[in-house]
Amino acid sequence: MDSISSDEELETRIVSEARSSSKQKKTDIELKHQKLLQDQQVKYVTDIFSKKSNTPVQISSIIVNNSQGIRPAVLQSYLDATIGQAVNVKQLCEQSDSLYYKMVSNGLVESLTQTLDSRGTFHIPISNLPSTMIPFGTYGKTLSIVDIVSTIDLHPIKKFSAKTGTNIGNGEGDGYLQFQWRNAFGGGEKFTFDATKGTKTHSSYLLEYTQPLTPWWIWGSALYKNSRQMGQAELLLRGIKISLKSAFYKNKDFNHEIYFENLWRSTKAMSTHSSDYLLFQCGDDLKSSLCHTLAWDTRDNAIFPCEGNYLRLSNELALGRYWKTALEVSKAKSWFNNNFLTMSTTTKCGYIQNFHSHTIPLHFSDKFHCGGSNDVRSFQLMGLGPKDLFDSMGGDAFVSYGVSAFSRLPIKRWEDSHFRLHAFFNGGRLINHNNVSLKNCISTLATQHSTSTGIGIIFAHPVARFELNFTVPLTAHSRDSVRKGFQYGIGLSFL
Amino acid sequence: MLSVFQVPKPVKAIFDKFPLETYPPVQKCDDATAYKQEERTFYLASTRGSQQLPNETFKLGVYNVFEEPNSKCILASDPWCLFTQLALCKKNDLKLCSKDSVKNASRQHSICILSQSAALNSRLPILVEGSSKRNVRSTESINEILNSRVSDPERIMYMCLLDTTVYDCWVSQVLLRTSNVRFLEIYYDKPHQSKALEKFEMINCKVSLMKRNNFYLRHSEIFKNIKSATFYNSRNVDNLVNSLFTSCEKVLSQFQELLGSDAFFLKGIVPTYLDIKIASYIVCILNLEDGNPLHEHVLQNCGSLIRHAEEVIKYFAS
Repeated sequence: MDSISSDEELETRIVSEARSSSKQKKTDIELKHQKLLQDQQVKYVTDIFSKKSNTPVQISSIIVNNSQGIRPAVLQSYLDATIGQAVNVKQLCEQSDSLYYKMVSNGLVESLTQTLDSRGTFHIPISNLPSTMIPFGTYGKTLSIVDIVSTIDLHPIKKFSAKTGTNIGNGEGDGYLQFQWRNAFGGGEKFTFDATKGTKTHSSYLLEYTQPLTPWWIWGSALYKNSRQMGQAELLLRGIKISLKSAFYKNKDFNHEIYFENLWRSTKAMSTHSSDYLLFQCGDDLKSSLCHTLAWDTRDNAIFPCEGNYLRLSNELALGRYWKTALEVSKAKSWFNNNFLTMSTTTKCGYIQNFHSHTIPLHFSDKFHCGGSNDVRSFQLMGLGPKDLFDSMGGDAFVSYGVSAFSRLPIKRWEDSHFRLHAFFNGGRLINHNNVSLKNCISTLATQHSTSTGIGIIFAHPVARFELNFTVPLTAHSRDSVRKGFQYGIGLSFL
Repeated sequence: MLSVFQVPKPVKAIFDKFPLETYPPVQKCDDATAYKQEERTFYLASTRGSQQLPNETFKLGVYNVFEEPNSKCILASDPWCLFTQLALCKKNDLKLCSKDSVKNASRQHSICILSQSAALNSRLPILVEGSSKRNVRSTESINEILNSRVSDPERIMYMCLLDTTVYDCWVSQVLLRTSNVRFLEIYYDKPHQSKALEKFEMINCKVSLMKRNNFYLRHSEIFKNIKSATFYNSRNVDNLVNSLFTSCEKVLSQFQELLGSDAFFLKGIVPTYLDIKIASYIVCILNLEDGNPLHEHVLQNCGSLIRHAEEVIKYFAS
């Protein structure tokens, strides 16, 4: 009796196993089928768009729903600057993306959806077009234009937001409080108040107002107070910053930022072993500077790029003090399926010309500093360059570079994860040129580089990049602060 | 015994090979930095003649210096800084330098004009000892060492009296009875970049000055008055300052009596730390602007103390 019941149980189990495995298979097949259909649809739509990309269109009317939160003139300017400019299907698609990107990034809406309908076509004589647009041999014929009606649904932005939180990492921690009042007057105006207190950034307060002047240009003004540790000194900064920056589509155009900053800076020694250099740097000073930054960014992701180029040129004119220029060039390229292997190279260089090079020294926070887990790895933060006792003096000319190779994990299960294997080679040179000629400065920068190499693992989180590397310095200067072995890094930009 | 955390020797040996090549240190020469340091450094002349090792030298960080009109010596403008300067001269057999001779002095020991921010607790003087083996001593630590050198209880008592009654009067006078320009000449050395910044810096400087020697605990009303700038004006402050001034007058006249016609206090042949302390106060008071009540009082009523201070400075002048 018992043996019969156990056989039945076994049979039931086999049947249920078979059913469940067939269910699983069925689900997999259904998923594959859906993906295939989706791919086909995408291909179909892409084909249509590619074939009809040059078909002339005209937007005859735009219906905007839920537009109460935006001033009509502002909304009109966004529509005119984006989809209002489209004359064919391709441009209409691109400008629709632009409209979405601009309205969301400028803080007018949380998101928006756009539906494009057609009321058929209408014909206009080609002779009505401007003479430069008339193709050869088409004079006297008519042109078919697709009549488009755009319906836009806006999803209003949450006007007030408050955030509190803590950040912990690398032997440091901080707590923050943030208030935001977005789209305050219906034109994307934003007030921000930030307060942070922590170990590395001792305290930081920021009151900021930003306002888009046009869809492409943003005005900003900020009042801030910031206290942070830099080497063996504490820097207390209070300042105002007024800026005008562009927000063009980053893949296509150069973006500019022009700003004026007025800064009151207090430097305080924090050690009983301070060098003469640091002791004489202590005290208060004022700085007014005019800066311009030019950036060109075609990277697919700023934190961990797989493809694309990045160029950034910044110039700072500190009135009556110095001129500082810095250039950063970066390129990333990937190979194989799903960007399995990625190579990334970055080069940075900079130069400062002190207008009073024999009498008034530069403040050490105005100088360049190299080294650290986000810069030349295998060296401590501010570990390269001239030093007075244990204090980094910074330099007024530098070059640093890095080549990194990343690979997805060679285990199928974790292949799609955010983890990557990492190998790198870094190098750099930081000097005080002490008013030598540019030629001599370049020749000094070209020799005796501090270099390092290593391997590690990185976690490319969308918010920040985490690295754990095993590093060794290959060449170094005798006063460089070297870090052999494991080095942990967290940040948004790496060499 | 091999610990789990101990790096195995072969691995360590490989590790020690890195960096594979070591270059000499990066040149730190910077003309502007050297100029600024030189401009703010005044060397003291050594009478011993022998060169001392860099790690046996010191730098005394002070608020500012002035040229004493009679001896033409470069002296610290604050009494505590000047006391330390003279005490170090006494201990190390050093001589004060004038502006002309200061650049020819042996470049070993020096006094430097520093910002109060160079001190961990924002109070000067600080004593920067050594070169590669560096130690920065605070005002309190310097005082402790210098006071420990005085063993005679009577002298200790007199020095304590000076560091409370005369010190409090000095601080109250520079805070409330001295023009901003003169205050900045005594406690600040930089050319001022902006009037607004100057005001903020002056308040900061005054606040940290009041925290030295616990002045703010003894005279909290004055402290509140200065700290809150224009927002809090106590009517009692005038009375408090006058009362400190009266006490100081009394103490100075008592010291005059004690000195009598002797060259130095308590029948000394050479200046002791007590002589140096009194002389430091008198020299700094004489450096206050004309019209300052304390300056006028000392000038008119403390002839013996002025003569004594001149003797002390003369003793240390080269």
